[in-house]
Amino acid sequence: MAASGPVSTEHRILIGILATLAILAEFIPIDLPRRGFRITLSLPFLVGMVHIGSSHWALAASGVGALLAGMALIRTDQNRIAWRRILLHLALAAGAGSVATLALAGCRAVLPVEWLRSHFEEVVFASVFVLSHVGLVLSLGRQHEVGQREDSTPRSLIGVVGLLALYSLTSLGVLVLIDHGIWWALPLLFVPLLTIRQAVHLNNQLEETYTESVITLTLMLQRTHPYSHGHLGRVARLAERTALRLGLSTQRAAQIRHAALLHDIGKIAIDEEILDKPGKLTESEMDHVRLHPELGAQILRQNPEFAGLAEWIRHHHERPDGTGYPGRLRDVEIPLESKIIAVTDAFDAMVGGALPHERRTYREPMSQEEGLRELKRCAGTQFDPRVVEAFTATVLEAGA
Amino acid sequence: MTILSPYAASVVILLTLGTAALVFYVRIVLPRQVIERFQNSMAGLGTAVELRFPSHHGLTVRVVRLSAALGEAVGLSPRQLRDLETAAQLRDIGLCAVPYRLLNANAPSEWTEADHATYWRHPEVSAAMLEMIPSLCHVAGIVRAHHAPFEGAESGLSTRGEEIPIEARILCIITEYVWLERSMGHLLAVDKLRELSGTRFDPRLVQDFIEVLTSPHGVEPVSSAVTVAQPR
Repeated sequence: MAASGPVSTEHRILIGILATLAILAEFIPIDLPRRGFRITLSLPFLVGMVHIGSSHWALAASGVGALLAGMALIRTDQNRIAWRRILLHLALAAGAGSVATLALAGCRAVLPVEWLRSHFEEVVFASVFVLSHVGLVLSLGRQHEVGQREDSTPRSLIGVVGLLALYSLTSLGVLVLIDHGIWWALPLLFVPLLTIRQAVHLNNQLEETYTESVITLTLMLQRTHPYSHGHLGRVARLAERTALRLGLSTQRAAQIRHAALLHDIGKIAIDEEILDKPGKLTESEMDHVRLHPELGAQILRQNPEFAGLAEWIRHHHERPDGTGYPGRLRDVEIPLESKIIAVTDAFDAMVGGALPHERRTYREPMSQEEGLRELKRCAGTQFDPRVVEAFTATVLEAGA
Repeated sequence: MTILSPYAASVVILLTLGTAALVFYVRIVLPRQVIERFQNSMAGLGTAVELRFPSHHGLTVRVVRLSAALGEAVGLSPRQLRDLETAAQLRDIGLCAVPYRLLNANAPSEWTEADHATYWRHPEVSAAMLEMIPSLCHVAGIVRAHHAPFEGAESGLSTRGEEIPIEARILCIITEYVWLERSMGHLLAVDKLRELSGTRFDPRLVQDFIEVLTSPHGVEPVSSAVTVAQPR
């Protein structure tokens, strides 16, 4: 520990190296899949500076890094420097830094043994810094975004744990390299940082492929059957909320949302003149329309990622009394997800959109109450009573 | 420099191993996964159109394979080859907007002028749809031009000759060939390509394509393409 001794040139050089690396690290941010979250990995170098007894320099370097990188990277829509956001970043860094420094001071005062102190100071600094930073960001985020975010909680928890592991391993590396005077190897720590950045980037690409193929498929369906435009979005939202109310996990509910968006994808391969035909369909026309769940499943099965959704969509016209299609499955054999989609789809088809062009040609739209009453009447034969109950609660809650 | 303590050495070794594993995963495993998932989802989109119009069944697999072969033969870069393949998968998604009965009930010989116009709007429709998807909009240009005649359309405003992207010129030849191959067989289809070379097709590429088709290492016989995607 060089904290109390006279400041040597060597010490100054080391501070300079660490500060440079910390500032550089601010310039390679990692964009997390949840939009709006962006992390940088300057912390291990800051920890190194704390380790050699210059926590004030660490704070300064973190501030300078956030400022410079912010000016270079954070831009408004008009490509101007977004001062407000940079200030927010600075405030966050300063807040987390001061909390961590306080914790450090407290730890120096409380911990009795020199040995314990020298080994735990950095750990305390790093973990308090990360936790208070994440806490500040999350609390800010909670104020800004209304609802919708609860599904990210388990994932961000995993993210925070992973981040802590990453930080502590690289920080340990920094400490070892400093203690043994192997300064030239310090920049090598950028290799894992850059690799993780690439990993996150590729992972985002995977998610993008998934969501964009959902979007493309719905676009294709809307080209075939323009009425479906508002219908799909409403069904998706209601199905997700109903699933949550039924106690399914947030991840599963999100999958159900995607499945609900795609539930009629098989209608791409159905004659639109029959679907739009006013009046009663003949038996052979009905048979043609009844192919759509199976066709939808066939389209989705091409992509292993959609294999689960394909099964749900295949059965979204089954009925608990065993008279549905294509499988004539009975109550317990029908996936819960399919039942949710069936109820939501039927309700929206009955109640319809507010806009005239969204109305289906073959029926006058009902009011919401009539729709719910109709669902209740068919509960047990056409729909699962549990799902109808949860769905009714969801609709009433949203309407109130 | 001092000798590392066992503690320090284990940290260094752990870091090195961890980094090596990470680099392997990110450089080798993950990119493959990204490409595979992407191709799977493209195949799903292609299937939707083939199910709508059963007469198109199995065409896309053949078009993708042949255009990759021709693209390789004329020396496209890996990136161009990837875009060509994506465009080959997605070229017909605009057929969703073509009425069901037009393609399923009537033979093209019975179509009216208006029917033809509706059908030939599909490259434009496909491209317009792709332009709405951020990760696919870069192939919209290829898809838009994939039926553009080499000598230019009558309107005079359209792109012609080498201005048409080479991927689109390739796709133009291949889609026409695969369609003809199915209706009239390999030999007559090649004759037809020769006949339209220079007017509808890029003559140089037609030459290259015929070489690809006749080379011993070129492309498997016609029958294999049809068996790839049997309906369930």
